[in-house]
Amino acid sequence: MENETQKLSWVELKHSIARQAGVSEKTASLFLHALVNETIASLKQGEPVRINKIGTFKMQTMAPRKSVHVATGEDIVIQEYKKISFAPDHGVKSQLNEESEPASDDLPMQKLNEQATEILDLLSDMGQSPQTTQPLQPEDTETAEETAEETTVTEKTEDTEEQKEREEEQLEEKTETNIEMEDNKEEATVPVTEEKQEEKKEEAQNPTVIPTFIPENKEERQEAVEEKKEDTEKEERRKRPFRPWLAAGITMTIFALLLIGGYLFLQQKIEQWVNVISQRIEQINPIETEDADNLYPAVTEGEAADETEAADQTENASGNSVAGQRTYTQFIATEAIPNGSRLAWLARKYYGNRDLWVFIYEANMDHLNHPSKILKGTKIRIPKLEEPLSDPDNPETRQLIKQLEREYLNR
Amino acid sequence: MTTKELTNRIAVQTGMTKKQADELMTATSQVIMNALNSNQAVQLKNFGTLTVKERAAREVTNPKTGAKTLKAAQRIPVFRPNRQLKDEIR
Repeated sequence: MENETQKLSWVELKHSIARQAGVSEKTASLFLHALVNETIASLKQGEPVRINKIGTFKMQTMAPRKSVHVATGEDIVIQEYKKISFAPDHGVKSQLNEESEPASDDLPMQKLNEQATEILDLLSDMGQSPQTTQPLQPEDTETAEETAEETTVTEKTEDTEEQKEREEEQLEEKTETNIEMEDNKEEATVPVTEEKQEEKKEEAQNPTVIPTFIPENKEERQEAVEEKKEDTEKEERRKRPFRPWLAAGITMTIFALLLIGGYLFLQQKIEQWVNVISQRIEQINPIETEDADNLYPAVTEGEAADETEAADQTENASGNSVAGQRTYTQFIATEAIPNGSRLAWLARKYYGNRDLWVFIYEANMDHLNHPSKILKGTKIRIPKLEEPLSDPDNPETRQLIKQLEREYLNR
Repeated sequence: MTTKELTNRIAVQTGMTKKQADELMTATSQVIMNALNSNQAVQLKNFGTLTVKERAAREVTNPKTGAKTLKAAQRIPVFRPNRQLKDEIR
């Protein structure tokens, strides 16, 4: 308990939280009040409250116990009562003890001083213009005296340079003594004074600068140090945030993209393979294709015209012409078209070839509109096909079928 | 009640966002821990005070082996409730 000379008051706490979180003091105050109120409310309901990285507050019921009255020595019973217990969070104790082990007070002070010197360096570099210099805050009576001195100095700055130099020398002496006093008080280390002397040399070099810097108070230094600390802490916090959902989302999208890419790649590959395989098959069975080739030129070249003529003749003989309208007199069957069925299906059923549907359509053109828009239950007559028409392998018939298909489907 | 529940409740009560409440909560714990680290007590209005207590080095006995060892001095955080709150709860 002897060490606890300082106490962070409610106002200070509010202030530093506002600074730490970068919000207004009003918000911090609102938050703190809410925190305390909620904690107390929860504790009164018997629910423990855990505050991260500090500890758990818990309501504890103390059982009634016997005791002795201090004054009279009588046996008394202390009745059951409740109290708030506090259990520090994991790591708090170790953190406290880590800090304390290396010579509790000296090291932090040194660090503070080092930081202070750094900051002072920076400020002296920047502080060539009197605007950036901070006004004095008299700490002691001595400093107050000195400020008085300084005001006189500022008044006399308009005088000759010699006078200024003299006065500055005086000031130097004064401030040095002052610093020594401060050092004795604060147990400040040597670098501070050295640094200050350096600063003064700089100021001596440019006498236009008003030496407002010299008696920087302990408060100011501490504030600067605090600011620096807070800045570093804020930076750390900025680096820290890790959003698991974001990471998950990114990985998921990458995974999905990879899958899609792989799928497309595989599809391409499969197509290539299929092509290769079909080519191979053609290479393996060249006889068939050759046969076809042999047959085809025979038809197309030379005798083609003759053959068509012959076919025409035969068709004419049987009452059917390839070029003109064919009439169907004989029918194999009549069938009501079932739902979802098409003419191609009927053609396959009766002729064994889907492509011959055009002739069925032709025979029923009187009561059909479009070959692919046939209503359910429409009665379809299936005509009997003569030789050249019923043979889909006949190139002429094939040509006719193609022509008719185009004609009917484009209606 | 966990810290998360606490921050959520505070957010509802004060009308700030959960995120802001969370940030303030971390700031609060950091400030308090810093204060405790530098041997400062922290006063929480209407609630109590968090202080650091020095616990002297002591001799401890290992219950298994019976060997006696010296445990180093420790600093432990202690919470002392406000007098008013103490009486209220009692």
